[in-house]
Amino acid sequence: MEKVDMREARVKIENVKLAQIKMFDVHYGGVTSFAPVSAYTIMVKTDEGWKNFLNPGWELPVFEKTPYTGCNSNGEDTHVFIRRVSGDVQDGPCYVMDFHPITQCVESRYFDRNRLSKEGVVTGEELENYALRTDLFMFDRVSLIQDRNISTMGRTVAEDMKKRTLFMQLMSESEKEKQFQ
Amino acid sequence: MEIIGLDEEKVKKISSIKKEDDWVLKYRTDSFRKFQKLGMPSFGPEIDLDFSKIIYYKNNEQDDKIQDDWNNVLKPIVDDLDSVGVRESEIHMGGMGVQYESEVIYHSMIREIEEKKVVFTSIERAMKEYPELVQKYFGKIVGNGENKFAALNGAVFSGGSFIYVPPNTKLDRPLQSYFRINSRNMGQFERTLIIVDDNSDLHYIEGCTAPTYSESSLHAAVVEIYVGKNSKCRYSTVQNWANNVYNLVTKRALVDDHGTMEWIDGNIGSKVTMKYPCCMLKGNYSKGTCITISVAGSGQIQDTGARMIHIGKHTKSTILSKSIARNGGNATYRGKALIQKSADHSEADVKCDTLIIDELSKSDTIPFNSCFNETSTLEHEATVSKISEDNLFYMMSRGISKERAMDLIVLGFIEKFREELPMEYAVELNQLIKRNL
Repeated sequence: MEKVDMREARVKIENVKLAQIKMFDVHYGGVTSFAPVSAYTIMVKTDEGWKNFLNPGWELPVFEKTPYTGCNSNGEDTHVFIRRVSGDVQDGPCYVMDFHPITQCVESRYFDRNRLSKEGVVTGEELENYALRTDLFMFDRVSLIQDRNISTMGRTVAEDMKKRTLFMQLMSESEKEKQFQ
Repeated sequence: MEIIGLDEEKVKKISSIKKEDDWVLKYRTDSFRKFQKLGMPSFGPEIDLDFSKIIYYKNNEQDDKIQDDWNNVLKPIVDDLDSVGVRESEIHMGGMGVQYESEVIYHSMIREIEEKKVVFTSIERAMKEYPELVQKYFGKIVGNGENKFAALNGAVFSGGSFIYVPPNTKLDRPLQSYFRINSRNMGQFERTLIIVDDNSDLHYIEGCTAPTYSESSLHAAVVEIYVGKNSKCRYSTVQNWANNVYNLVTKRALVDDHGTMEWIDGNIGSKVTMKYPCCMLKGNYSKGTCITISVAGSGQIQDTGARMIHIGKHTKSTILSKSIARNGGNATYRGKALIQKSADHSEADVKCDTLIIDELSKSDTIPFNSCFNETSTLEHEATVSKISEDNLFYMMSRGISKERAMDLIVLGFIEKFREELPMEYAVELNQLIKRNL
């Protein structure tokens, strides 16, 4: 799947979800977050299963959030239950998709509301626009900006690169910690 | 003066501006470390916030003193507040506090209430004047490590109210606080602590009723309430933030024996609201009620509900949630009724009704109901409905226009909520909802 093709694609809204990149921990029985930085991406359902829209070649196990939370004795939500969608359950990075389609999670201004209500589809171009404009840290946005040759987004590139380095560092630290356990 | 972005030095700077005691500074820095460690909530809507761009503290040009006379408040601020009817509503109240950006600028109380030895002041002043009382409860009901936004509030809180109602005191008129954000990227982090001592009664109104014109602002408040033995507290709020404000609020009450806590909660504005007022029914025979309405319009996500945690015996709780979704809005009920093993002979009743106005909008009901003993009862009832064509036709056949008929149906749907609000608020709420339809 090429990114250029996806720009022209029209995808049903139930087949597009916002996802976070997290570490799965078999011992813990769930995913762990890297608090200082949350990395996001967009997942699109294709004939071959769920793919990372911004970096289709990066294949990881895919999980999906359920709406149900677990809580402590104070009733405070402490975690959300997730279910496996594809891939093996193993230690390492994975995608955790939101329960709702992306159009329900982000502001509607990114999408053509008329088309959404009539046809229930979004276009690859709209998804790219969202990925470029959002304040969320999109893990593979830098390559998208470079591909599109957008010169005005230097600051975003710099910030993303900084976050990307921090994220990779946290990820490797997390793996190192596991080796010691 | 403005503080943009956040690190430990900036947290210390806020504390030094406010000339706080060491225990407060320690609490702030501890909260900041927890804020750094905690991740975003794993449930609910995605939060599209860049913490480095937020203004964490901003004061106005007025001097540090909190005024009790409107003549001493800067004219542009007075004009701004007049435009949304804040001063007008003061005549109905026993006392009033106004927070503009990060600081409380105005506080006043009528003489009858002062004579009853009621304390109604800003949290900062209370920390200096009543440190023992504040320290006993501050941060004890809502811990600073519970969620990322409670931790953030602990680190940078500024403004908010402190109320102490002494034992055997009943207030005839409500006390009110009004919060306003007026800048782009502004964060408002007020902290409210209310202590209703034994055999007392309080009605507190939080007004965020006016639309603001700011962009990508954050309102992350923490409200802690202690309801003493045989006491009652009612906390009414109608928030109508602009559609660019993230409203992420943690509200919790701890209720002692035979105490009653009532949350009356209206959510009309904001871009994303995540708010689940909670009652910890710790005392035997304590009661908790939450009546909440949410109206989600285009681009809005209202993720609201309530939490009732039964710990004491013979405790009772009621959650009544009404959600209205229109123009592609998303109104979600996310609530919790938890009857613990110790809470013998308790009762919990949860009712969620949703009205979906059009095909674009969406509503979810995500209840979490658990009962860990065999002597208690827990009931849950949920309905989802659309505006009935039959009802519309019936009213239109009697000469009522379609728009007016829809207004009537929606206002009828939230009748139970309106009944619980003071008259002047109920009228304002009607206007707000009509404007939002």
